[in-house]
Amino acid sequence: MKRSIPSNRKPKASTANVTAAHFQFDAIGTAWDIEVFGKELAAAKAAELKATILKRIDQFDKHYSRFRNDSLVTAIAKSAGTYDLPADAQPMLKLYHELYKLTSGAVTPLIGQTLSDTGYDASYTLIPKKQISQVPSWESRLNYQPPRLTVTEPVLLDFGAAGKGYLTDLIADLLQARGYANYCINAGGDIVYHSATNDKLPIGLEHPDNPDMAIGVAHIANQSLCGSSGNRRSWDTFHHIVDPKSLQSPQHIKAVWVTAESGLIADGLATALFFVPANKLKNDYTFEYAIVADDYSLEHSPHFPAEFFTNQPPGA
Amino acid sequence: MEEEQHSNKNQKIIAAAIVLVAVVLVAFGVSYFSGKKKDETTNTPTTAITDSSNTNTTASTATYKNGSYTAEGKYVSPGGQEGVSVTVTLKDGIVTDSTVETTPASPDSKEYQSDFKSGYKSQVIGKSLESIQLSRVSGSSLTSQGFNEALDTIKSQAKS
Repeated sequence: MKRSIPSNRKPKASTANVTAAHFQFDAIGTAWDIEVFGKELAAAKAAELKATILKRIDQFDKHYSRFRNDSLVTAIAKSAGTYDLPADAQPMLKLYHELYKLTSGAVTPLIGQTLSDTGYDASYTLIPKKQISQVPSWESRLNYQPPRLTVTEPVLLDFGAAGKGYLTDLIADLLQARGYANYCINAGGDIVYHSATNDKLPIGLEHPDNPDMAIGVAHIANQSLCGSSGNRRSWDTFHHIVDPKSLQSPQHIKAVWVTAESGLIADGLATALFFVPANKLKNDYTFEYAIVADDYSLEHSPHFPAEFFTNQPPGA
Repeated sequence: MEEEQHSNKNQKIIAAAIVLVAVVLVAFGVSYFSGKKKDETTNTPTTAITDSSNTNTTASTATYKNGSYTAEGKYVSPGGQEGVSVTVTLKDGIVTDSTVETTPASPDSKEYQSDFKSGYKSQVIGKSLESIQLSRVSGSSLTSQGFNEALDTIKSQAKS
């Protein structure tokens, strides 16, 4: 009698977990990893899909990057006036304006010049200027009546707080529109995972001090997980988030993760949590979060979809 | 009167806790260990901690050998000699485990020490990605080649 061979693999005939195409590349200043699951794509089809993705990313970059001379953001930094923004600007600016209000101006797209002065500029100077620019208020510079943005004085915008997460949504839309229902898009740690069968994908939560270690494992399906931490993109006393009031990078938090229905919300809230407690955001958004403070203590919402590695409280 | 004594004892416990914390800090900061060291391995930690830091990484590379370190704190309460022991496990400069043990001599102390313990926050510990077999990770924004190269340039300029 023939006996089945024991295997660790799930006895599943579906191709949902088989890689159909796998793309890895650098874009918008971060490392991308996109995996499409299903029946393997022919080389030509995979190449065409990759080209379409890269084109979409470049289009986004050309509109919203402050690191490009030819971008819309650079044009706005040079001259006041009224600009017709692309259709994809609306959800992003809407979220930014909401977070601006909820964080009393701490999360703001008007932080561009300030970030640039700290050294986080187009050529990665990474040396802070002696004088760091103050951050102008939203009302003093911007009036957005979609699709028109009126800029009363030139201002350098920065969409770093939520732009990357939002771009993962846009790439997910692109894949979805082409009939792909199972995929994982990882833009430098901002991850969206879709599974038609709702299979969970395990994702390590990076240790804030050591990228070869994890402090837990999240399991997500059909949602986005975004992380924010000052550990890699840091220079001098700064990291990628700067408080518009103190003009310093917050140091009380080592790392934040947020899960939400979209990368836009997850990424934006991950930044917002550097400035306000989760309570302040919970009425406006559905999300789960985890925060590692500077003393490595952990705070997380009851249903954050992860197991954490912690030392047990004594006597527990 | 009894209340006053209580608060007095409380203060002592708090003082003991502060001393304990200081001992632990000293153990980490100046490599001074009042306790014992076990399970030492020969691996020398690399730059795990420096990754997170500023341009002055050259100065801040403190390295500790892998292993478990135990620091003990003692103090005398009205009920007699009391002890608290903290064990911390280090791997590549990262705390991978820690425990607090107490050896209360009197019933009163037992109560106070458990108060102290419940105020002790649970902290994250690191496990290597290899050991948990995960390829996908969410954390800091992975940086592009360009940023890393720029940072390396700055660091080498800072050294020269």
